[in-house]
Parts: sequence; structure tokens; C-alpha cells
Amino acid sequence: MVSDKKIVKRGTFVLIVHFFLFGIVGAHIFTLQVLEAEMLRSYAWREHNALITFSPRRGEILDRRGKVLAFSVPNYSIYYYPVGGEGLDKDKLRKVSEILSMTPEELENRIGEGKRFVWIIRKLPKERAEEIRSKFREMKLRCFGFVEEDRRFYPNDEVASNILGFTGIDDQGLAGIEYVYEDFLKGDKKEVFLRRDAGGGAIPDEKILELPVLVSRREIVLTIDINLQALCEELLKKKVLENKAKGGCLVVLDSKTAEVMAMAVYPPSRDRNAAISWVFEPGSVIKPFVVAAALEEGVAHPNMSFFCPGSITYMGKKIGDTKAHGSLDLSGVVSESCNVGMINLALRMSPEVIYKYFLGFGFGEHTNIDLPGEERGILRAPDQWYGVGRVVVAIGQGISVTGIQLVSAMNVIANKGVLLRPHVVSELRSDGKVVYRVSRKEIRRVISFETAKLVEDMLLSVVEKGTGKKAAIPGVRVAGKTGTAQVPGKEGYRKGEYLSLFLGYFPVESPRWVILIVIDTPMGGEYYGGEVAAPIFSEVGQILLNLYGAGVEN
Amino acid sequence: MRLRGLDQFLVGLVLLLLLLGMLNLYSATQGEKEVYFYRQLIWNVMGLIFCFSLSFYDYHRLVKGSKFIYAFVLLLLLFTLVLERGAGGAKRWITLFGISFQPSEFMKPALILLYSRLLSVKGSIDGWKDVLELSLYSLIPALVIAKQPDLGTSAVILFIFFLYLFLSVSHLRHFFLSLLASLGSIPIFWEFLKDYQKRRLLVFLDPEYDPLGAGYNLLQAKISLGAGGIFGAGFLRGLQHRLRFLPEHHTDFVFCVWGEEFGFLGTSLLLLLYSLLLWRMYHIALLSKDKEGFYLVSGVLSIFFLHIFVNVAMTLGLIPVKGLPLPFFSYGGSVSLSFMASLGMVLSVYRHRFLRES
Repeated sequence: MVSDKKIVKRGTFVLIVHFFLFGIVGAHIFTLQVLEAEMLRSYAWREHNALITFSPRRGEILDRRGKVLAFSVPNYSIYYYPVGGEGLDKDKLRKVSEILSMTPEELENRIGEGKRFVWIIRKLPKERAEEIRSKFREMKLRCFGFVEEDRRFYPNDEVASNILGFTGIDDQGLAGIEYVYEDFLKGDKKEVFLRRDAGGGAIPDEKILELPVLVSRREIVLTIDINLQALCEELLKKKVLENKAKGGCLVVLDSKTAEVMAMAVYPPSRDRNAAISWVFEPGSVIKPFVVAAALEEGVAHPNMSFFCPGSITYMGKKIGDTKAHGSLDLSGVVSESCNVGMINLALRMSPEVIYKYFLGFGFGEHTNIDLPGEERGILRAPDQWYGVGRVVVAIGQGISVTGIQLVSAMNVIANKGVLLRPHVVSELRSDGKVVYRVSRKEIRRVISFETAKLVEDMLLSVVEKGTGKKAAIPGVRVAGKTGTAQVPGKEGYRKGEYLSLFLGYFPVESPRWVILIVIDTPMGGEYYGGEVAAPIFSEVGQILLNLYGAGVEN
Repeated sequence: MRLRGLDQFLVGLVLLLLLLGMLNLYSATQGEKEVYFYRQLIWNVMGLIFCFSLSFYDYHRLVKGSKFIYAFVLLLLLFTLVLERGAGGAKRWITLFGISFQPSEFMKPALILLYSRLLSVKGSIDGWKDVLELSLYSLIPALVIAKQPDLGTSAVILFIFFLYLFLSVSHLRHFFLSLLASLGSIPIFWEFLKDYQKRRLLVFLDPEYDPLGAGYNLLQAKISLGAGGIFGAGFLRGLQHRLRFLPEHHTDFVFCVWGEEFGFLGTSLLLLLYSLLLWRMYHIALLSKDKEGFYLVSGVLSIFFLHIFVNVAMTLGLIPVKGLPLPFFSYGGSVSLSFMASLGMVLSVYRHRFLRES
């Protein structure tokens, strides 16, 4: 044993001091690990987990046979975000601009002050982005970042562009189906807490992007047949050019379901769909609906006779006809498109009754087709049908309609009295499962079966022996009506400017397709509906028969 | 020579601590730095061999030869100054046969041996002349080490001096006045520093001076301990170090890895084991038959205490000084060998406690 009492005492004192200091340390550990553990644990949790928002890839749009019309592919966008003040010097600026194949000035402009987050290039293909990324890595640049962003592709280019619409740079639908079904196509974002390490910042890095997408895959199935749509667009373009017209539209509706199978417009446009937003005076194609009203109201019957001297004067104004038709029955009035006969018919009904039937057929109101930008047309209240307005509505003047309204109204006759809601979307799917099916929707019965049948007989005679002979399709019976509408200008109707129309359906025995042809202001010599529009109807009919056959249901 | 064998209690305690330390280092180095685990394994095996060899070697002979050992280590220290600067501008390392080691770590046991010799020969420290002479033996290496620069180890060297001064001085006023004088000399010392050294020292003394660096580290250290709670996250489950939030988790902040994975129960156990270690060394110091043995074991005891205390207190943010390695837990070759050599000397004191001085 050590004999020196003094150093033993001091050594013991040192040990006691040591243990005392250990005690202080122990007390602090107790504070942290027991008393403050809850708080520190929650702090740790917040640090270890990052709230990540998963945005699903924008849904695809398919045609009725499942062909893809719009889809998104991953692309990469490059942003500039200097961390900790690390920027670019002149030399680096030059090198980077070379890699990005832009001029140094361009790059400098985009970076601006260089303190905030700015996009440098949006939506590069993957290969190109990888190439740039690896070059940046070599240069050890830390002020640039890469984010996956989707880019929208329309594999059929402009075909059906008026229906599909388009999306903006931030993937938001701006027109067409893209706009109407924005919420569905965009899908639900999912917010997930993900483990992150000390390196993971607020801006998503590669690791996070490589994680599996936890959100559903969405699809919209259209009623459009893209083959038919393409053929119709091609045909319409050809005919518009042939007739030196301003433009036109062509709609094919499935009669039984009111599914739009094709909706072509010319000139094509992604942000405006003329078939639903172009408002025009329909001219003679309105006549069948006035006749239907008169028959339904019992103020006319098929054998009723009319006499046409070539013009009629009403309230001091002379209203002309194409020619003096002489004696006609009601069927003849329709098949010859006699204005005088129609005006006499209109005089047998009160304006209120005519107005009621127009509303019934869907004029003056939205068809509520599932596309944006639909117009209502112009249908004034009957107390505002001043002067000749009281009678010329019967020949399609003083009333304005849209293409889709005409097709929809004609489908009432084809469906023997029932108005259906037209639509272009048939199904919404999520992960391959149908989540919503747009079914045939009856809006109302407009006229009786018998009335519709009588009108149909008259529309048959239009094609068989009247103004619409050129709309005939070999092998099938066609019902339809021609129209040659004057175009209203600032002062009365414009001279020499007409819309050439044909509105019809076939096969009459069991109507499958309703077709509208409108050619805007043909200047190639011919302008009558029976001359310009009717032959196009016939061609479309033959295309349909080629595609789907005559008897078999599609 | 009559041999009474090893102190089985101390050896058992050390083996247990080494085992826990390796377990913890295994977890701390998972994923990116596994190589440190294997290196430490080799260091520990070498350390144990070193330790057992020394335990058989009569400590009196070491104490007698302490001047030569001290002179040799001091020479190595001076040698580091003339060597080219290593990574980070520090000149702490000497590389031999591909193995780098830090002479400064070996200055600690060398100085303990030297003081044990000087004080047991002298009997007691009576006047200022004795105090001055004693202080020179640590001031010289402390300055050299400070120049490396490794202010932490430098401070440990000065701590050794004050420890021995306290143990041996006849009148305690000499101890307290020396302590006051050295604290008072800091401002003068300060004037001799260059600006960058001052800045470095400020950061070094006060982590708040560099809030994003050291302050962040301290916060992460506290979060680690707190996240462990009472029972801990479990072995290999410490997220703070696995997700790389905890810095230096295989060296300075290794205690936090242990604290997160084994909780308050684990940290309490560790502090208990360390206390037992100190207690056992104190016991051996009392058992030693002469002053050499007492001084030697007391020095080792306090060195262990200092490292444990400074490391853990820094982790807790109690003292604003950069970390010293945690014995048996922190990665480090030279420091492990130094610790194991010191323990070997303590075991030698125990083994030779009944022998007469020849």
C-alpha cells in the first residue's frame, strides 16, 4: 500500500471530482433521453421524412377501338438553382451554354439575377437530358437540377385536334377533351412521407423520382373512330378546296346512342371546335322540324296541297322561292324545298307553337355535349319575331344554330321522336377498370313516332326525287334535307354568299348514322346544298359502309 | 519473481468495453465506412497484445527509463513539424511501413511515466522552482502539438501537468496560483496567434461561432440521443447515423450512435462500466506498493476520465470544445494503442504490487 497519506487523499479527491462530473453528464443524458425524448423524437421524424407529392402521369385518350390519340412521355426539364451562392463564372457560362446548345447571352438572360429558381430548358427527351446531366457531373456543377416532367404527344398529329384540344407547358388541359376532363386526366396526387437522408433537399432529387409511381393510370375512351375521323377530315379538306370555300364542318353521329363518331372541321384548330361553336343560319335544313311541328299539332297532313307561284308577300315584303313550284303536297314542299309552302305552313301555327317545337328539338339551348366552347345559337322569344321574322323562321332565317344542334335534331327524326344527348366520351378507366360509362341518354320525346315516320317519308323523297338526289348512296335508302342558307351581313343578306348544307341519315329501315355536311361559302360556281353538300354526304355514307358494312352492328 | 497474475476484474471490464465498442462501431460504419471497422479490429488485437505484454513487464523499469521514452516521443513529435503537411494542413502523422500514427497520442503515457518518476524521486514539490521545472516537461510537447495544430491533445498534455501538480504539491496555493497564471496567460498567448489561427480557435472553442457547422452537428447529436429514448431504437437501427444526419459518427459522435440504438439504458450501462473502470484503477492505485505505481495509475485513470468526459460532454453541448476520442468506442489507431499501453502499465502495477523493489 502507498504510505503517503497526502497523495492518497488528493487522489481520492480527484476520483470524487471525476464521479461528480460523470454525475452531471449522466443527468444531462437523462434530460435528453427521458425528459426531452418525445420532443427530440418528433424532431428526428420530421428530419428523416419528407412529404413527397406524387403526380400521376396524365391519362391517355383512346378512340373507340382503343387506339391511342394522346399520351404523355417522361421528359426532363433543367432548372437553375444556386445553393449557397455557388454560381457560374464566365468560363463555365460559356461551357454550359455550349452543352445546352444555346448562346451564352441566351443562357445569361434565362438565369437572370441568378438567385432564384428558374427553368433553363423544359421537356427534353430522356437521352438528351442524360447526356447533359453526365456532362454537368463531369464539370461538378451543382447549381443545375433535373426534374422529370411529362410531355404530351398526339400520335395522329392534327387529326381530331378540334376534339382532343391541347395542354399547356405545365401539363394543364387548355381545350377540348384535355380541358373538359382535366381533373380526371390529371388524376389524384398522392402525398407520401418518404425517408430521406441528410443529402435530400426540398427539391426532389433523382432517388425520389426513381421510386415507383403510387397513383392510378387513367384512360379516356372516346366515341370517335380515328380512322373515320381521318377520312372525314381528308374528304372535307378536299371538298372545301375544290369548292373554293372558306371552310366547313362534317359530323357523323351514331344514331342509336348519339355517340359522335367523327367531327371534322376545316380549317383545323386545336382551340376552337367549329362544329359546336360556329353559329349560322341553317336555311332549308330547318324545314323538316317545322313540318314535324305542324303534323304533331294537327294543323297539317301529308296530303295537304299547296300552290307555289314563285314568291309570297308577307307584311309588305316579298319572299322569293327558287322557282314557281306550282301545285305541291306537303311531301313535295319538303322534297322541293318550297319556301312558299313552308311559309303557308308556318302561318297555320302561332309563333309560340313553332318556338316550343324549336326548343323541343334542342335549338337555342346547349346540347350539353362533353366538349368545351359549345354555343347555344340564337333563338329569339316568339314575341320578338318582328315582321317577316314571324314566317321566315320556317325557312331557316332569323334563327341561328350550331352544327351539333342540327345533327342532334335530325337524330330525333331518326330515333322516331326522341332527343338524345350527343357525347364524345364513352368510358373513363382507371388502371384498366371502367370507372364511368357514358350511356345513351334520352333528354325528351319531342314528337310522336307517327309524326317522325311521316317526316322520314318526306325526307326519303328528298333524296329519291327531290333536291337531294346527289346524296343517294347505292344500295341503301337515305333520308335527308338539303339547305342553301343565305349568309346574313350587316345590311341584309350578303350577295352571292351561301352555306351549302346537307343533313340526313341512313339506312332508313334502321338508322345507324346521322351526318351533317356544311360547306361555308363555296365560290366555285355551285353553291346549292343539293349540288355541293349532298354529294359529300353520299361519299361519307360510302366510307361508313366500307368501314362498318351495311347490316352488321358495329 | 512472484507473479500474482492479471487483475481479472479489470481485464474482464476492458474486454467487455472493447466488445461493446466494436459492436457499436460495426453499426456506425454500416453502409459506407465498413473498412474502419476492420481496421479498428486489427488495432484492438494489436492493442491487446501490447497491453498483455506490458502487464508482464515490471513498471519500475519503465518508470526508470521514462526520460528516454519521453525524449524519444518528443523527438518524433518534433519530426512531424518538419514533415510535409498532410491532408487538411495538419502535421500530426508519421507514416511507417504504410501505417500512419500520431506521436502526440503516445506523449500522454510517456508524460505520465516521466512525472511518476520525477515526483517519486523528488518526494514533493515545494517551491516555485520545482513547479516551473515540472511545467516545462508538458509545456514543450504541448506547444509542439499546438503547432501541429492539435489543440485538443495539447490541452490533455497540460491537464496531465496540473493533475500531477495537484497530487504532489506541498502547498495547494502553488497549484491554484499556477492554474490562475496559466489562465491569465491566455490573452498574451492570444496576441501571438495569427488571424486564421484565432478564427480557428474561436470556432474550436465556441461552436456557435460557426452555427451551420458545429451548431448543426450538436443539434444532430442531441436529436440522436433523444430519438433513442429510454430503450433505444435497437442495434443497427439508428436512423440518425444511417441517414447521415449525424456527422463523424465513427469518431467524435460515436457515443450518439450508441445512445440512439440502446437508449438511456445503454448510455447508463456505459457510464456505469466507465465508472467501474475508474474505480478499479483507483483500487489498483491504492494497492500499489510505491509512489511510482500510485502516480502511474492515477495518471492513466485521469486520462481515461478526461477523454470520456470531454467526449460525452461535447456530445451533450455542455462544453464548447472539440471532441476527444471516446475510449474503446471511437475509431483511431494511435489512440487505441496509447490507451491499451496505459492499461498494460496499470495491469503491471497490479501484478507487481507485492514485489520488493530490487
